[in-house]
Amino acid sequence: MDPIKSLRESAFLQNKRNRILLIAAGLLFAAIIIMMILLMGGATEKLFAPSLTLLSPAPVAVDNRDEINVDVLLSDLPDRVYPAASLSVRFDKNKLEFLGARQGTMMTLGDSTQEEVTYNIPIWKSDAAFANQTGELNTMYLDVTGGKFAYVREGFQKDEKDILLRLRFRLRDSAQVGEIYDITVTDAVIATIGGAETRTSLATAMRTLKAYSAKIVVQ
Amino acid sequence: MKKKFLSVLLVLSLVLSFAGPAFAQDAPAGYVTVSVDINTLGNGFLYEPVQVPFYEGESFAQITDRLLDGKYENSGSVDDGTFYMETVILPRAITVNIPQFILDETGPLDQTGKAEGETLGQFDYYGMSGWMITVNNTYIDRSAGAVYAQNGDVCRWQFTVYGYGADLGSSFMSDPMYERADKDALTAKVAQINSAPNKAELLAKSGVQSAYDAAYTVLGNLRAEQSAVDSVLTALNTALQAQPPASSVDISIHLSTTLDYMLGTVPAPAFGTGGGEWTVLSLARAGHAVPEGYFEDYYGRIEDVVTENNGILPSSSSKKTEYSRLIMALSSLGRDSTDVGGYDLTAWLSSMPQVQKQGINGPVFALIALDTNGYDIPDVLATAAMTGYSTATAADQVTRQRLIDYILDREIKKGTDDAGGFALSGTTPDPDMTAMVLQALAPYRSQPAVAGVITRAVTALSAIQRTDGGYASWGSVNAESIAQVIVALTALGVDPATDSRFVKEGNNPVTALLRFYVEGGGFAHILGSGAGSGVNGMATDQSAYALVAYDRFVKGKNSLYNMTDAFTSTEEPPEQAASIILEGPGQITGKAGTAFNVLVKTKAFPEGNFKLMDGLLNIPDAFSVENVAASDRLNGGALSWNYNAADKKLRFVYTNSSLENIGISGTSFPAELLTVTLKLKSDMDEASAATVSVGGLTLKEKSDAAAFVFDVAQAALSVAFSTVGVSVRELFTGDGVDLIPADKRAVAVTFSGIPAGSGLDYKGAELIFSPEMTAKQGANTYVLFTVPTEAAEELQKAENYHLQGAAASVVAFGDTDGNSVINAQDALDMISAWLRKTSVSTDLQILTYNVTSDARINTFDALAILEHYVSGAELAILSR
Repeated sequence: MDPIKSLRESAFLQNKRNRILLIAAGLLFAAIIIMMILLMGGATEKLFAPSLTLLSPAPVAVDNRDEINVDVLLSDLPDRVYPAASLSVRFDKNKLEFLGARQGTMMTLGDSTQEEVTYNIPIWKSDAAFANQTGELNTMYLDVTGGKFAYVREGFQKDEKDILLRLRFRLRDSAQVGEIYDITVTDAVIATIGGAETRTSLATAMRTLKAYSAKIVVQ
Repeated sequence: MKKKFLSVLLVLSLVLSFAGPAFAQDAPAGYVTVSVDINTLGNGFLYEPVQVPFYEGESFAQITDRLLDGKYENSGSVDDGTFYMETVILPRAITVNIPQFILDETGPLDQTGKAEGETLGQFDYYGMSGWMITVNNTYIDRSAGAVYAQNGDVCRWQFTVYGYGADLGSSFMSDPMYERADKDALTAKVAQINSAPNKAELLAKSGVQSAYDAAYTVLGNLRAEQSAVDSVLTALNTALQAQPPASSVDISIHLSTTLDYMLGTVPAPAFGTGGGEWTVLSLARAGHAVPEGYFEDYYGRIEDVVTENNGILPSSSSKKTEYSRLIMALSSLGRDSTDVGGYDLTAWLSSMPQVQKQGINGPVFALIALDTNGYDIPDVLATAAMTGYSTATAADQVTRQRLIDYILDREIKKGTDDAGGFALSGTTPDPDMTAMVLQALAPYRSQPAVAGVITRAVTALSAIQRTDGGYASWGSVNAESIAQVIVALTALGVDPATDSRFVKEGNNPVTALLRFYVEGGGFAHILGSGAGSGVNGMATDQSAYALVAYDRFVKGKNSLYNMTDAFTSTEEPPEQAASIILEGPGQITGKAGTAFNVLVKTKAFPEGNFKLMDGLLNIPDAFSVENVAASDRLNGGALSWNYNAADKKLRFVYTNSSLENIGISGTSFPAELLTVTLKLKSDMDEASAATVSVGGLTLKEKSDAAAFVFDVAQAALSVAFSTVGVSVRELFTGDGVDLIPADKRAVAVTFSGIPAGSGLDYKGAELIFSPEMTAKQGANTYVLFTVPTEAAEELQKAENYHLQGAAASVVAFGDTDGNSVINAQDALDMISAWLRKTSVSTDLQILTYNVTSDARINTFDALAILEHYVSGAELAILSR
């Protein structure tokens, strides 16, 4: 007899309650297996990690030489103090010219006093000439006081103060209609003090920060 | 004869006894901090903390005598141990508000104040009152004339009302009324600021003014707890040491081309608004190179104008801003306005009716001009004959406070909830006028009334700012309004590019101003293509000095109008000669096939439109040339080379096919130009050596122009041969200040003839392998930590090194978190370590963190990581 058929027609499985229990047990077993796989892969952390998204701009006309802004959007900022952040992005230096970084909307602490807390929108340091030589732009914000001018939760607000910075590009004359250029995050970190040890920094290298790249479409 | 000789000897000794102290007076033996306070009367300092020089053998009585300039009365002698301070002649008027805890002991007291010039001394206000002195936080039990100064001492004169010092927390004569905090360190820090020649610049740094004000509050609080004193001192130190923000808007191209444009269009500046003072001021404050005689000839023309018109400047009868503008320009050149062709230009600013004739602009610019160099305001009556102010009275006398009060009175809607900002007329804040008022008031923001006006004016400027970051005035969005706002904000220590009050939709005043830049240099008055667009003289002048103001702010220099630095002579360091040096191992294994790198470096690289760099190296017959690579810092070209074995010369050219300019990136020198990889062709005797040298290296611009020739006199490297080549280079020695112990010395040791990465020890100390240094040297390179006294000869001996079984520890410079990525986390780790929030203790950690290869781990290392990350700058430790 077909073993499956015999199993199906067994007295045990004829009982509805038993079938329900068996199905539930099976689902639980599967969930445990999946969770173990996820945990072993560290994907749980990755699953719930904040994300950094390079927002793809609208398609650009091939003869357009205006600035193309690529906003760097952060999904969330846990309530910690982040005195430093950096972003490495690869781009096609033969098709795109990197012009520099522009201020976003996320704020750091400013020159606060005991009476008043003020905020700044910082400008990240970048080197357009070096980036255009190498095809990789590296930009960094560094609060050398170690916290007085750090990014903080109060300087972040979804939809209003969530753009970390803006990257400015321009099409080169070699751009062709129909081409698509990747703007790829190769490394990103929003760092806390001792954050590598405590895993409190948001970092792609630690998988505590997800990163989504952008594309520039030429039309 | 004997008598005559003795007489001569006596006279000589008498002369020398007078001359001796005179010579000794030439140089101070040190500096002490001195202050005089009347906190028991609730009135702060009579003499604020300052650093005072003292001379060998001087007592605190003598030092105090010099500080008070004789404005005191004493018993005994200032020159010996009988000195007793009885009264101080008040340098200012005082009000009296004795703290209640003292009145609880004394009962009600007459608290009538005293005028300037009156005395304050023993028995005033209460029968136990008088002057007491501490030295290094100890009330001295003898005369100040019997206590001698040591360098760094802190001396505080304090007036006591009750208990012979009990109200000061002293147990000198009775039980102290409270536990007295030790305020000496805080007093000394405040004295350091007060005595600094760049005091205004220090106070303008972000956070310093507020910490400084907090220090005064604590110093004035008799019963301040030690924790409060320590906290304020820490905050003040932190604010002083804080670096300006690393990020800023890059204005270098716009500024340099605009200044070049101004030079080109104003070859001979003369008195006047256009082509005159503002051009001179912009160029001078920027430190921009000008043709020889440019400023001297301008000054000569000014002297002519002044003397030919008997000091009366053209168009100045109703506009004293003509004098203010000229004084500002002269100050930018470090020229004294009190003697221009024999005329004191500041005298024309001594009459209030004259200065305020043209409205608020007059007092605003009079104040700015006088403060460019802290000019005293001349007596209006004494200078009337020169100025022509024949009807002047004493009541017309300008004082700085009168100018300030005049300006404060003109605040829009003053005294109401809507107060804020300034305008020439009307009740709508005008950005230009509001900004110029802020420029004038910035040095006075410690006055409560001024601080309030400033706060409201800054709020008003933020409110009227456009979303593109710019400003409109008289109906048009223009460069000049933005420029004035930038000058004002930087004068207040506010970063116009990052302060959230002035960032609107990602735009700020600096980026807004740059939109008016005209390619090639210069600024337009308005944007677009209508009238006023294109380069405009006034817009260019104001935009130029606004960018200079911002540039000075970012670099932590004196603000635009604080020109005291122009009067301080500082010698420019002599320009580094563009000389070539070679770096490489001094010793290699004498085995055939041994390879190593020779680095060709330059100490300077000239500016110019060079299209080509070429040169030749002399390579000894012992070596073959394996490769020649151009440094990453060279840009604009590609390298080609050829080694001719016949004449033993390696020739190279660095250029490009389109004859575009070549150059070098970065600002650190010596800078690497080439890496030459050589290999030993055959076994060599240990006793021999070979020398690599540069025969010549030039930069060429065009065929009919002389080439720039580098100095190659020092460009030689002698390479000795041994069984195991050991070459040692100093890296750093700690000084015990920041995380690197004073006895910790690091040297780089390059070996040839051993397997890469092998574990090695030197007299039991493990060596740390550096793959990066190995790649650079072309031979296995390690770092050894040793003591400063370890002799170089010992370090060079191969027999002192022993191979170990295990592989060596490996260092990755700058990679503090060990994840093979150098980024912001690593930079922050360095700052955290310096702040002592995390620890650095092992040799490997010290080596990883100290990327600048100096004596300390501090914020310089973090900044080096930033430069390395953003611009690919090589870490300094790799180029040691």
